[in-house]
Amino acid sequence: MRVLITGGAGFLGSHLCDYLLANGHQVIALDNLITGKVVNIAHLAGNEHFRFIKQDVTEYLYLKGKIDYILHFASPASPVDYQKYPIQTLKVGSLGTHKALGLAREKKAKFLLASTSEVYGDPQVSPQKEDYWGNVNSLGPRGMYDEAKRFAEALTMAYHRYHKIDTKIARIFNSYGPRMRKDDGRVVPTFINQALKGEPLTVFGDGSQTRSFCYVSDLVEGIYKLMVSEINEPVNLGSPDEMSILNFARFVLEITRSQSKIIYKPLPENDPRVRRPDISRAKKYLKWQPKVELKEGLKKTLAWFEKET
Amino acid sequence: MLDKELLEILACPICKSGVKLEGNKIICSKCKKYYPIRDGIPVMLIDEAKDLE
Repeated sequence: MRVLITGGAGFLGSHLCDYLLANGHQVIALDNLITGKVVNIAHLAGNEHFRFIKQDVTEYLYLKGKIDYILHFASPASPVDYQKYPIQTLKVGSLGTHKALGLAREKKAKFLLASTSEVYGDPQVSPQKEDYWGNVNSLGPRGMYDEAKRFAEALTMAYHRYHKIDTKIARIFNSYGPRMRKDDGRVVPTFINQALKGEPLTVFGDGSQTRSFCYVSDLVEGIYKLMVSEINEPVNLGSPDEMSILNFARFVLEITRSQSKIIYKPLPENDPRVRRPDISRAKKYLKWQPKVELKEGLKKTLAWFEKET
Repeated sequence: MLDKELLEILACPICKSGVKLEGNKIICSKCKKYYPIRDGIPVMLIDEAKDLE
C-alpha cells in the first residue's frame, strides 16, 4: 500500500514511517519541520520505498498518483510547542485536516486522524471512555490544541458521514520513547534530561496529578491496527497504567540512578488532574493493548537520550 | 538530486500543476516560479517560491 503521512518527521510520524516500511508499505512523508526534525527520518534516506517532501499541509496538499491511506499526524503536540505556535496549531487542525480529507476524498484513500486525549480536557470522569464529551476551556492556555483537535474530529466525522470516506480517529494518550525532543516540555523527556544533567526534577503542583505513559512501539502498533480496521468511531490508544507525576519523578530518578532532587512549581492553568484511557474498545475491536512495561520503555528511552547528549 | 518517482508526485503548491526539474530547481512553468532542493529534500513551500527570470 502507498501511505501518505503528514507530520512524518515528528516523533510519532517518524516511528510510523519505520513501522510501515518494515511492513512492506510505500511511504510518502510530509513535514514543514517547525517541530519535526529531519534527523528523525535521516536513516530512511535512500530507501526506495520512502519519499520526503518539505511541505506545509495548511497551504496545500496535493500529490499525483495513487494513495491508499492518509495518516494526518501533522501538529505541534507538546504544550511548549503549541503555545509557541498557537495559530499554526489551529491552522493544521482545521485547514490542514480539511486539505488532508479533501485529498483522501479525491484519491479514495482511507484517512486516519491523530487525535488526542486532550479532547477530554481536564476530565471529570476517570478513566475516560470514547463516549465522554470532555471538559475543555476553549479560551485557556491549552485551548488552541484541544479545540484544533476537537474541530479536526468533527470535520473527520462530517467527511465520513457526508462524503462516505472511510475515516478513523485515534485518540492518543501520553506516549514516550526515542526521538522526543528534550526541550519539548513534556514530562518524560524533561525528567530524563534533568536527571541526566543532575538538575532538579520540576514537578508542577504537589505532583498528585496523574498520567499514563505508553511506549511508542506499542502506540504505533495500535495506530496500524486501527488504520487497517473497519472502525470509524474514535478509539483511545494509550496505557491504562496510571501514575502520579511525583511517583513518576521518583521512578525516573531510580532508573537513571540520579542524585537529582525534586522541586515543586505552581501548577499551570487548566492542567488535567487525571488522565487515563479506558481501552476496552481497542482491546475488543483491535485486539490491542500495550505490552512494554514502563521500566523497559524508560530504559530504552534513556539509552537514546544518553546517546544523543 | 531528486529521483524520478518523487518528481512525478510533486505538484506546485500554488496551482497544483505538475513540476519539472532543471538543475537544482523544481520548476512550475505555469506560475513561472521555482522551488529549491535542500539536502536532497524538495522544499514545496509557497514562502520559498521564487520567480523564474
